[in-house]
Amino acid sequence: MSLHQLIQKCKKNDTKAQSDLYKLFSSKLFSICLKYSRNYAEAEDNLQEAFLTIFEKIAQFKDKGSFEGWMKRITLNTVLQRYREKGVINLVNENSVEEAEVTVDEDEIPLDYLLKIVQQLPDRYRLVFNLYVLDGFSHKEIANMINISVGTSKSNLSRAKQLLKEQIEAYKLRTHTQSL
Amino acid sequence: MKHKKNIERLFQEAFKDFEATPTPVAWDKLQEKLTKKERQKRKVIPLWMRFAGVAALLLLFFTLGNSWLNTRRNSIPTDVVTSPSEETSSPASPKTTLQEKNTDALNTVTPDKESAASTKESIPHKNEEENNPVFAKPENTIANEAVVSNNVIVNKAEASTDSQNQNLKPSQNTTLSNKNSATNSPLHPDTISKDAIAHQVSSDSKTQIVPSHNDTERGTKDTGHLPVYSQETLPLIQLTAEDKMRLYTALSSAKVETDKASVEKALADILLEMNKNELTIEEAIAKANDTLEKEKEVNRWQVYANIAPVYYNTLGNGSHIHDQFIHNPKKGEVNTSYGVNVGYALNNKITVRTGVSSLNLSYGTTHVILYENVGIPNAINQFRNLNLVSGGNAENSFPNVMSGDNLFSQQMVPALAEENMGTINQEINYIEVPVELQYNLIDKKFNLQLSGGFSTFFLSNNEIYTETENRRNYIGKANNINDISFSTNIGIGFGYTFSNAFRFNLEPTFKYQLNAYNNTSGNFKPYIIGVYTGLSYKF
Repeated sequence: MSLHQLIQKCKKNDTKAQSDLYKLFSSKLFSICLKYSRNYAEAEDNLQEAFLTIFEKIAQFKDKGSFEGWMKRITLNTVLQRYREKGVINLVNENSVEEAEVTVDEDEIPLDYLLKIVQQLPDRYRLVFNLYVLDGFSHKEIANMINISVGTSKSNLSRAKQLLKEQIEAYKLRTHTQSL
Repeated sequence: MKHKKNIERLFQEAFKDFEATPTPVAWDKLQEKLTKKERQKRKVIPLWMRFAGVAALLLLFFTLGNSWLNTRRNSIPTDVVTSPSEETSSPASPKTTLQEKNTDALNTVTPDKESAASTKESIPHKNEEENNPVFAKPENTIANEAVVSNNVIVNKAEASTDSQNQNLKPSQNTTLSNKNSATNSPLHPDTISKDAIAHQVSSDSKTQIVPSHNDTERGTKDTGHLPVYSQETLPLIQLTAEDKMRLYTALSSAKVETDKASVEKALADILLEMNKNELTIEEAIAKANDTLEKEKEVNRWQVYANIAPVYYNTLGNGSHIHDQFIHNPKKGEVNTSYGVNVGYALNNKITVRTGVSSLNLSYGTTHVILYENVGIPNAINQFRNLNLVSGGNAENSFPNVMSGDNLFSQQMVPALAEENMGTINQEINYIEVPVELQYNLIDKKFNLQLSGGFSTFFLSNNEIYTETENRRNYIGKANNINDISFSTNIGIGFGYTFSNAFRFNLEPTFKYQLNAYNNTSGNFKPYIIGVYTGLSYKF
């Protein structure tokens, strides 16, 4: 069955088609949720909400553009919405911009560790870091998306990178001492 | 010396092909929610089915009452008017039908109550979930719907930026979805994701730090924010512009909601939003009660005094008097109706109303020859539908009529015929008791409603006059007009509200009479068009 047929069936609330669609795309969308959430459980919650929205709005999807892109946007919106509701974004307005490049020693660091330290970032830092570094949005776009100023976006990114660097160095120190 | 690497590059490369499979439980939960949603959707249909059921029941009552009345009517001899005592007993049954109508109409509230109860139920259920530290996902379970609807706004708001993003940042897609290069990646996505998950799960379950930490964090946040949140303004401050609008509309609509179920629903929404802002359930319920009290202040009752020009005519070509008049020209006439209505708003959309009004109707059959039978009383009355009175100047003269199209009359002296050519005028006065549902389409300063329902007509006066250019004679009564009859009504109401309580109304209404006459000739289907104007007062 083609993706088009699958979408058509989902539009008719076909349970089997919904299941198939989930199987097909859940891991891609879940990676977004994992990056943007605090932990695994929250990521699963976000994934569920995203899929609920997808199934609800799938009738509105006109076969223009990428379906996967559409689903990713919904997922990202779901995640962002959670932060909008929590109101964390508006509370902070840090304008001390540090543009310095943050570098670390080139070492192999496991992805699960990287994911973990991203998740452990404070919400506002994690959000900006993900949007800018991993999903390629500009500071201006981020500012529009989550209602902060460009300056705040930049400084949040900078703080996020600093925190991540500290964590990576701590990890290296740990593995180094272990190997000794 | 190790090579220094930009931290952004490090993460970009690491997450380039990142994919992770959620636990199978996630799908089960999602499916559960999907079916729950589906069920909620289905709940809407029975509400309308119940409305349809009520309508069907009304129709059944009406038909039964109607046929019962008609059989009684037929068993009564032709000189009905002479036996009024028997007839007065008959109104009893339509009255009960009326009562049934009313209770049925009110019964339609029950589904709302049920749904309200179900929303209530859902709240404590979620409370339980929140108390459970392992499955603590209060935002998700409670706010599911709210979040979904929020997304619509978000989608819209960001549609433009999203489309821009697609154009400007193709890298977004590649970083997220480039699956083909998965094998080239130093880390295999499957193993990574599994590892990641395993790691995450194990760290969660072993130390139980992540969930419990979050919860305690949330808990402390709660207590920290409680006094602040109790001020109603703060949630507004914390929300984005779109959410402010949403919350504002939810609150303002909750104030005008008169339907308990929809109020509860609106409140539930607010409650959910509050909840997401880490407000406790107890506080949210207290808030809901506050707003419900506000809701109680809504004016549900409405009194409406009206007066209307009413036009009475027939759709068919028949005559209610006699076969010979079927082809005579008829003319509908404009008369008046006045009365008082009482309305009760079931919710802010639907109002049930009833009332009482006096309705004068008249209907003319023209091109009729008027003559007098001298010395020949009713014995040879050719009109089974008319009870002619003795009258006129001479003691033994009886006024009579015949159609101008009648072959016999054409043979008569033309001059005489011409002079005596006139109109038979049927005048009827009814006491009308309508039971109608009114649906508000627009409820602003100017408002627009659709209304539909039934009217019961109690015959109070019935007179037939003959009219020529200069004479008007009472000749008798029609005996085929039912004492109790019904009509189906449909109308469009226009209103102008000029204060909170007062409103000016203009409501053109079409009433199709169902059993006004017992025994008509040809295709006689009377209807009434009235333009009801008046003032209504809400309290």
